[in-house]
Amino acid sequence: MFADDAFPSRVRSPWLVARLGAALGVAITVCFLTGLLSHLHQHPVAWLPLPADPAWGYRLTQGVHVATGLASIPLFGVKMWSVYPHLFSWPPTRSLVHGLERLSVGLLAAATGFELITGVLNLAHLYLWSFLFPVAHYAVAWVVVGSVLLHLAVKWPVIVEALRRQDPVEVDHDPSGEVGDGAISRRTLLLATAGAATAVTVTTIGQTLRPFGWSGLLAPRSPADVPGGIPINRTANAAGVATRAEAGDYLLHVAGPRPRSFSLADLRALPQVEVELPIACVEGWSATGVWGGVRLRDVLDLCGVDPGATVRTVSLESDGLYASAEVPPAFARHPATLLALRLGGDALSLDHGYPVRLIAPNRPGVLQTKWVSRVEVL
Amino acid sequence: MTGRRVVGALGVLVIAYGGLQVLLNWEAASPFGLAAFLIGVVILDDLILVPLALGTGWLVRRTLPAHARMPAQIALVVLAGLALVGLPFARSPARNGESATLLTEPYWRNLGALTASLSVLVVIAVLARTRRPQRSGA
Repeated sequence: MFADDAFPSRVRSPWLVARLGAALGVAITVCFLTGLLSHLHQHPVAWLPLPADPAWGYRLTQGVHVATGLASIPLFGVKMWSVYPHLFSWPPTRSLVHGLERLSVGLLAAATGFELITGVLNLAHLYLWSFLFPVAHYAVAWVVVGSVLLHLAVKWPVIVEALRRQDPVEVDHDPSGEVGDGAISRRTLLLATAGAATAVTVTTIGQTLRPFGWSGLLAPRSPADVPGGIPINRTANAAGVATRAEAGDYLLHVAGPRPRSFSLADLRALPQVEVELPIACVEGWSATGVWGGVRLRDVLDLCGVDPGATVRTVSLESDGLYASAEVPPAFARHPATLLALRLGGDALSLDHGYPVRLIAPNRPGVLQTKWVSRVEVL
Repeated sequence: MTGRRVVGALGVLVIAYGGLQVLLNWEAASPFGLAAFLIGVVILDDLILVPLALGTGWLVRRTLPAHARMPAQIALVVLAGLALVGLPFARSPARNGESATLLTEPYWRNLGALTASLSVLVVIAVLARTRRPQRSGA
């Protein structure tokens, strides 16, 4: 379609494409597995109960999910640049198999780009779409993985040969890292791409790895700079609960064989516990707080709830994706799972869930229900 | 070959499972909106971002002396990665939204500082390469 010299860079080659692809393959695998785990937290299945320990589990896996996704952006960008001339190969299809192969590559590129772009835009709270992000991000993740498998099946001999092959002699033996006309070499481009991925990680990872807080120039969250150290995703105003939460007639209704309603004074009169737990957001940021309040299991026992029961915490928030959350028994009965009344020794602020919020170990922040008004038994 | 066929078939099944998730969650997945976004991703990549990278590469080749090209190209690759991540945060209206704890960094300023730092590194690298003695036989 274009003249042979339309894309003059000699850097594009199977050698480069295979190595970028291998790195992206590892990144996609990490993102998929950690994302699947996050999905299972939010959509628990009885045959695969997730443990409540270690408390930092979700903080680690979701931090890795988002960091790997962000680091994949330069990898994906350079990979797309390196295969760009193939887009114009002519004729478009030489056979049915060739046509299907091109279609699968197109699907892989579109689906991977979709995951990376929607992921970043979701961190930026820029919802430029009509679909529900978690549903679409999850569905397309399967398309990405399936397309990778299909791509591997079609291209395996080419990939293996390219990974075994040494870089061409004139590039490989150029100690300056460049080739004839001063252009970047394949190996240097690969290193530059790794450098870009590292730079993205270093400037964003501070949102969950506090030692890198100083370098979080592009971090979407900076917990160290937030009063109390715990960022807020959904405010009481946005949830429409401010008036009801502060009304003064608050009651927590707990179901069970002996259903009870607890006022704030009732809850404060129960044995109080302090726990240090991280709150870890699906968006990858996390922060540790010292939470104080009543053990959920103590409240459930008072109401005669079966120790093996799954319960549901329901917010004062009347609608919204996370107005309620299931709490499987491993979490509901964990000694560190609280109906929290305090954070850092002070009463919860309204935006942190006053008067009562759930805090449990190893669990996405969106499931740590704020402004809890009811506990139901499922 | 049989192994590759099995992997390929598994790939098709996994893709179909992703499609099934869309069908089962028709309203939430908004299939037409999702398809439009997928096409938008292809347009953004193939008609905007990659041509922009190609144009920048062409400019580098045309305007910079040979010994300056490699440092500039490395810096541009790193900067492009940082910009793709940082620009959505800088442009997001959520910065002035309900939560004061969201997108708190001065992203424009920080992207400017990162660009300036990379530029300084490029200048240092170019100066070092200019002063480096030519290899014999060159």
